[in-house]
Amino acid sequence: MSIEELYNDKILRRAKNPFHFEEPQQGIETCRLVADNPICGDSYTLFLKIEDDRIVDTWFHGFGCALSKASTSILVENMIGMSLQDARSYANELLQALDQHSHLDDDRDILTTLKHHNARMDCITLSWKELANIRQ
Amino acid sequence: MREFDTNQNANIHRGLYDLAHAASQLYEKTRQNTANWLHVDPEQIAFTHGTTDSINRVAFGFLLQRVGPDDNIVVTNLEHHSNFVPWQQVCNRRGAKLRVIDVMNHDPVAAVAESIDERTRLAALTHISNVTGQKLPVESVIQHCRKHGIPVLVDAAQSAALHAIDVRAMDPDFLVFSSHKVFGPFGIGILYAASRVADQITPTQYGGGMVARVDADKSLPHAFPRGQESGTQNISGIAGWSAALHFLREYDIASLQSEVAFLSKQAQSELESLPEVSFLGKAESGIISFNIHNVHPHDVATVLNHEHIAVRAGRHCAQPLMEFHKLPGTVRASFSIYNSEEDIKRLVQGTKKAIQTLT
Repeated sequence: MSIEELYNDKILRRAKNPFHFEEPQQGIETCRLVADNPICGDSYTLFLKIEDDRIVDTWFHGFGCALSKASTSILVENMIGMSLQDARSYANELLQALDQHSHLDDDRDILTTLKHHNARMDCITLSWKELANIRQ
Repeated sequence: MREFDTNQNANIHRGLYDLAHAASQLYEKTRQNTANWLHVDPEQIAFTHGTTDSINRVAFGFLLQRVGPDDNIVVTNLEHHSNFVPWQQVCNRRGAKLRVIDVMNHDPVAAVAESIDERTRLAALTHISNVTGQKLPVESVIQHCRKHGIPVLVDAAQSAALHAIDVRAMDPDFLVFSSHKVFGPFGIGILYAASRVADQITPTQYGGGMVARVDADKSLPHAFPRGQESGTQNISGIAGWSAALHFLREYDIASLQSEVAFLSKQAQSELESLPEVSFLGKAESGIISFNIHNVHPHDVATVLNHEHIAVRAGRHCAQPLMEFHKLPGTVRASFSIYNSEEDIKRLVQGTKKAIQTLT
């Protein structure tokens, strides 16, 4: 895979203009997830506003490479409207697809096409693993 | 190493057969050659598993018992975690203070002089930073600390290969480095200890090989260095380290060092022409550390990897330095004796490609 395929337009667009890349305004109550890779230093806080067991809005903030930022952006944008349980399944499906080299017919396919970039898999899965591993 | 593993494989200091004798001779001859290379006596050289292991032996075998509450240990803000975390641990266990001094913006000798006092129990500093390549005037620091009776450990991991260190002239209390930083194999480290402190390093590991006598209720460890070499040693690695020393003997080290320093200065000079590139530190000893504006170092490293250029990117096991400069990391290009000006051209081209792809 060429470098242009790894850093393709979809990835770079997400990395440069990530979804809700900010902390929520003061007064908004959220659940927080911290996705942190102590080895490379990438670290994001995900903020989930939950009402009636549904995620009604999301934000994220922190620092990381283009791949982790784009990947986290896809996650936080698409989990709106899901229950926490659904969001966990959504994250697990991506991790499974990357593991099994299969595709998904939605936004996550931006990430599954990068499955051969083993050296960057920790960046791509950083926030997804954090969500998949939380306890109900 | 292959020859040792294939035809000479035997343990040291135990067997009475010829192979065992040859292995012991190889091991001790390598200790002698290491000592010759550093201009010291072989009784001052212990083999360990690496720089980190060597530092931990000093931290927990020498320093821990000398540190109490309100004492302090002085390190610089350039240190690799291996020369930072063990001292931090000693301080945390004893309620002592780790003083981290800024040697990038202040004269290093003056900074050390200002930070030490009658409660300083050790100063530990790198000879050359693994992030910026900055070389510290360790000789002056040692002289100053000696006047105040403060032992000094020098982390020579980055300098041992190409800086022709005369340890006798430098006269640190401890000097440490790894074989793999000097063209040798992984898993072999060197711990030099001056004779005034060598026997004050209590072994941190006990077992076979390091004891002079064992009774039912007590044991008597060997003196330094054998008291530090418990259990089965990495003799195959020592064979590789021996080969590395022979390899280096073929070269004029000062001239190699000068060539490598030239390459890093040239690389910095050429990369400086790119407005998107900024540097941490100034090239002086084979290392340059840089960033592309608004691009994460790992993304730069990935693009360079696709151009077949291997750089280290991230925090370089020097998180305190990165936090000091409010940086998430840097891209580090390290030059050595196998690099050429052609590699600089490729690095510049690769960096341009990273700018074009990622910005």
